[in-house]
Formats: sequence, C-alpha cells, structure tokens
Amino acid sequence: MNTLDRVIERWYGYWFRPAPLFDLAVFRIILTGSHVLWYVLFLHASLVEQATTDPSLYKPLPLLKILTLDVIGEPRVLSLGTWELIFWIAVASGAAACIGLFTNVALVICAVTSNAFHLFINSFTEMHHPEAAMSIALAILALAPCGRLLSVDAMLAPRTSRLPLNAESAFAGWPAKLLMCLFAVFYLSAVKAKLTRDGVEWLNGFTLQYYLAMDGLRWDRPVAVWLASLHWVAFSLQVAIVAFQATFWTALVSARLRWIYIPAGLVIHAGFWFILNAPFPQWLACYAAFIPWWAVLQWRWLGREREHRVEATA
Amino acid sequence: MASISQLTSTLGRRFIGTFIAIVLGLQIVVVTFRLGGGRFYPFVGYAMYSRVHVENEPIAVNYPVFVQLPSGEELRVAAEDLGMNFWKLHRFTEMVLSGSKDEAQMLMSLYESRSGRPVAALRIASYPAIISRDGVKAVPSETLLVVLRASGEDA
Repeated sequence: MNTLDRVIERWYGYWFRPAPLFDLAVFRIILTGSHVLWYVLFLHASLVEQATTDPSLYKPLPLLKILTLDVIGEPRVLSLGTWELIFWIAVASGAAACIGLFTNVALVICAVTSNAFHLFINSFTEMHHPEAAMSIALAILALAPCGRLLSVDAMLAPRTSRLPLNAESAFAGWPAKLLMCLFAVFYLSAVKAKLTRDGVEWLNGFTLQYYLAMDGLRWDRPVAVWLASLHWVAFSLQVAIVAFQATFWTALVSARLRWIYIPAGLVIHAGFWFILNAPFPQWLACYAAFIPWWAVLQWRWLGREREHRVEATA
Repeated sequence: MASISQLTSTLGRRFIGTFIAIVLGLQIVVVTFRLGGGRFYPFVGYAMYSRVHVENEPIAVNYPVFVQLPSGEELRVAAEDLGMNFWKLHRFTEMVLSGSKDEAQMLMSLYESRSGRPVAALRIASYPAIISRDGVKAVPSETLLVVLRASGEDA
C-alpha cells in the first residue's frame, strides 16, 4: 500500500465510521421541518416582493442562468407563476422529506428547487447568506440514508428489512461531519475577514457598539441600542465571538468540546437573531446535525427507565 | 449477494467521498479567494460585520435619499417609491456613495419612470447619529453627495 492509498483509506475511514441512523433521521426532521416553516411563514413574502421589483434590477446569478437555460442574450425573468410553482414544489418536497415519504427523491427535488428559488431571490442585487447553508445541507441529506428510520418509508418497508432504533450505518455519520467542517470553514472565513483587513483593530469595542447601534436603530431593537452604550461589554463580546469562531474547528476533533461549542453556537446565533434582528434560523436548524440524539435519548429516557427498573426490583 | 452489497458500498463510498471533497473544496476556494457576488452560490463568503468602526463614526442606519425637482422642491425618497425594499435601496445608495454614477442615474431614472416627475438632482444625506463610548449620540444630518441628473456631475 503506497502513501496515496493510505491517505485515501484514512479519508474513507474518517467519513464512513458507523454512526446511529437515528441521529440522521432526527436531523432530517428538524432541517426539513424548519425549511417548510420558514418558507411558508416568511419566504413567500420575498417572492411577492421580487415580483413587484423593477425588472431592470434583475441580474441573474450564473447558476440560475444555467438552471433556467438562460445563458445567451439578455436575461429574461421567469413569470411569477413559474416561481410560485417552484416555491410550492420546494415546500411540498420539503414536507414529504420531513415525514420521510420517498425521502431521498423528495430531498433531491427540495434541494434543487429551493436552491433555484434562492438564486432567483438573490438575483436582485441583494445577497441572503443564511439560506446558502440550508441549500448545501439539503443536498447533503439527499445523498444520505436519512429516511431509514422515523419515516413513512421505514413504516412501508417489508417487515424483514425494518431496522431497530439503535441501528447504525457507515453512511450515517458523514453528513454531520461534513456540515461541521463547513461551519468551521464559515467561521474561520469570518475571522479572516475581521482580522485581515485591519488586524486586531476590529477588536476595539467600538466596532460591536456600532453594529449594535446600527441594527438596533434600524430594526427598532432597544436591547441592542442599550448594549451599544456598554463599551467594555461590547469589547468582551467581540473577543468572545472571535475566540469562538477561530476555535470552533476543535469541536471536530473532540467530542467533549462539542458540549461547549454547540450550546455556545446556538446561543450566539439566537442572540444575533433576537438582539440584532439578524436571523439565521437555517444555521440553528443545521446545528441539529451536531447533536448526538440517540445518545441523549439513551441517557435521558432509557437511563431513567433503568433507574425505575432498579428501584422496582429493590 | 454479499459481493453486490460490498460493491455498492465501495461505489457509494467513492461517490460520497468525491462529493465531500468537491463541496469542501468549493467552499474553501470561495472564502480563500473571496469569490463574492453570489457567483458560486450556495458557496458564499461570510464577511458580515467585518468592517472596523471607530469612535465618533456616523452610524449608517440608513442613508436618507432625496430628489430635487427642477422647481427646486426637494422630496424624500422611500424604497417603495423605487419598487425596492430597504436592502436594495441601501445597497444602491452605498454604490452611489462609493462613486458609481451609473447607479445614481439609474435611481433617478427609476424615480422618474415610477412617479412621472422629472428629476434635477439626487441628494444623499447621513443618518443623524454617531457612535461614542457611551453609545448613540445625536448629531445633525449632513449632505454626503449630490449628483445632477443631466450631466451626472458630482457637486
């Protein structure tokens, strides 16, 4: 075995270590459930808004041009009816994936249509970042055995091929690992953007005070405006955020550190949402991939059941 | 039967392994070389909130935009007047402030076509607040830029 073979072997060994299918199924339900909710509650308004936007502002992104076969000549805007149809296909396929009906086919349709929809929304001079991670996560799930448990597909499967809740698969762990790697890259790129432009000057306290004041006044968030008046609190938060983003990757190599980084990440993103009105619900949903649901369930419920049994025997 | 499942598994690993390498590689390339503008969407950079701000800096909550009519009358422009939302108008205003005359002319032409009124000039002002050690401090709004309609000349 030469060096290249050994590298490839280790590559496969890392990604395809057996993991609980239950974790993947719970992640599928949370991700697609939040996708459907977000679409129905908030994104339909974006579609209506784009329809009323002046067509001169339409500058289709390259991938959208390819998807809509609109590569040559002046860009043409697909009708609102077409985008309405694409929108509802993204919702229906997301709902089917959530309940696990034709799970992987539904996820492929959901990933393609929702990505096309976001490309359309982002083709009017504004870029929405949170949905990008969701689009990637849907594509990742589409290639994973996420409908083998907790799904209509599993219920309809012949009795002989049904799996127990504690079943594991070599293909169940890579989606969470890949998403965690991507988040580590997202965070490191955020640190790079903050610290490469003007060095550590970003950590001056005033920068976060400024953003808190800007978003607080812009979106009428009194807590943000109040926090903007606390210089040392803003400075401490800036240091904490950069430290979190710069070291998130360590959660990839240490399962123990995940107990710190995952709750911290959830708190940070929820904080951005409620204090700065910078909603990243898609990122919060993606964090569901990092939680070892089967282990938590065993620890929380099965452990308690065992305690009861011991007590009853005593 | 065992060999078929083994073959499927091996092919599956190769396919997924390649997919992982492509997804990770694309994301790393996009953020390393700052390939922005959504050209590689959904692979995008995450440089939000990365600009440094200093004490006494004007806070860009928004940039009040005004059009001046040939009669000399000045009207405040809302995003809806141009068929835009807050973000689109904000982006356009930022582009105008960074020196893009085309965008300034486009804003005026949009206003003219939607309101039916001719425009003589476009004025962009600052939001009346700065950031201080103790938080938000109110200051008078200042004119940041005036662009004339006909020649596109900066005042």
